[in-house]
Amino acid sequence: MAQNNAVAGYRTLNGVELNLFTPEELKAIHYATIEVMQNPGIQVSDAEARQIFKENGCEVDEETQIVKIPEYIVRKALQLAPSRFTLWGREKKYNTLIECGGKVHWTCFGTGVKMCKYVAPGQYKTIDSVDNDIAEIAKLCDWAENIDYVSLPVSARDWAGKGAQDVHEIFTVMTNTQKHFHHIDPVGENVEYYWDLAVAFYGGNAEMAKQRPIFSMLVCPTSPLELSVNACQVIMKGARLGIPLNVLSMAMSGGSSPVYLAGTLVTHNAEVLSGIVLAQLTNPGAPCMYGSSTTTFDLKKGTAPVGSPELGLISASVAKLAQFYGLPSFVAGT
Amino acid sequence: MLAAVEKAKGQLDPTVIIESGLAEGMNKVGTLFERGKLFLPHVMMAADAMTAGVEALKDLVPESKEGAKMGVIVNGTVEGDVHDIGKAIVSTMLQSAGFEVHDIGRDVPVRNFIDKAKEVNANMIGLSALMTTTLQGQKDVIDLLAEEGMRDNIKVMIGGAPATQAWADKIGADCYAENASEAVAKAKELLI
Repeated sequence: MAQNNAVAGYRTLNGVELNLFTPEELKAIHYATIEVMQNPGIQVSDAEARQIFKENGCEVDEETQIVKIPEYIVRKALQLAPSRFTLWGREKKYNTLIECGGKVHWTCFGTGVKMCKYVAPGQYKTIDSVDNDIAEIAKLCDWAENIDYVSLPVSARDWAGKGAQDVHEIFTVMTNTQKHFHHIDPVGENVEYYWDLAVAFYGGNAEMAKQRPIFSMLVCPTSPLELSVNACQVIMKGARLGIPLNVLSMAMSGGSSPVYLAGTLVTHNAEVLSGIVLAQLTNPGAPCMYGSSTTTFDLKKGTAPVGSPELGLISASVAKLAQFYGLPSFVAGT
Repeated sequence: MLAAVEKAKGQLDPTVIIESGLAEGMNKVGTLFERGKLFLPHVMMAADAMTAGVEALKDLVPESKEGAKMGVIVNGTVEGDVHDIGKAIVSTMLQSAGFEVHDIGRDVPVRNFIDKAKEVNANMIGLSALMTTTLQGQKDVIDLLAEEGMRDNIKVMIGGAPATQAWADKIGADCYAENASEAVAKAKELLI
């Protein structure tokens, strides 16, 4: 008798699956998205971005700033977007391979505005976060084995009003962790400064900085259905420099998107895809993640609870949508 | 609702219709919202209805009566910031409380706040910012008001997630409100 009998054709589920859609249902969301991208279309507030859309075959109305993106351009862009790319740390062992349908990676929360400081047993003090808090958290993430890369955890509020707060933030993280840095809320005008830091890190070698991105950027469309000037600038500059982009929308179901979750997925999808399309039209092959912090809108309190069950449902849906498009995903979680 | 206004037109003084009818109703809506009995969509519908009602009576209201208002407020999200849902809720709640609100939108250049305040003779400017990077705009507006010699004649209220009472004190704002209900309470305190 053979010692290693195996069962043939045995499918396993390696863990937990929350599968919300059949392929037909995903297609339905896709078709609805395509329709929305034509009617009403996406408002692109940046003139240069509108020009890029126009040159590539989209219908652009300069008066209303509305861009209508036909399906074939979306398909073309998605063909160009890579389904896997690497976020580099200081050393290869800290690299994170971002892959569509690949391993699940974890990052720290970003971006908060207050720190809860421990005073004594059972006693805590909540105060505004400062630059030094970012440094300490970066070091903590450096140590934590379960954190793959560092997102901007809190805001350096001591730099508020003094200028270049976001540049100080990236510098602080880069100098306090060996892992990759994911910048949140980058400022379009300062992307060149972030880039200079990355090039300096690689001793002036811009080519290496491009091939081994030491930082990436999270950029938000504005719900509903708008790409602001800042978002466009970050996307275009990031795409040209090879900086991985996380096009992440935070629609609020009932506030800035339809109250039906499926409807929210449609408008969210249109926003994110339009950002990724812009990245690909600007520079084919630009590494992009399909991002979501989309949640519900509390119509009683007027707040956006990111701990709501709807966020869980939406995040699970976004993961499936991203896989449908062959893109790596990034979702809000715990 | 417009039908009711039409019916009342011939029978009651327009100011009475507005103050004892529409504004009263709006106030009740605001109170019920704070108690969690009515939700935002109800508040916004009510605000739209009130605006429509006042519009329908506009021609009948004598000019002199226009001055008897609780206050004129200019509301906006500061330059560089596109977050405006919270600010829109504040505008609606202030309107429902009886203030004349001019919501000038989001990503508003510092200068525009001043210009609008002059244009409508505002008693208060409300400034919203959701990002720490755009918070500075609130200080810029206050500084510009001082430069123009307008600071003493106009109140400034700030709000938004990164804003705090400490920040309000630091930049010389008259008050800080954490949410829409508080904004209404503070506005009433300062303007009435």
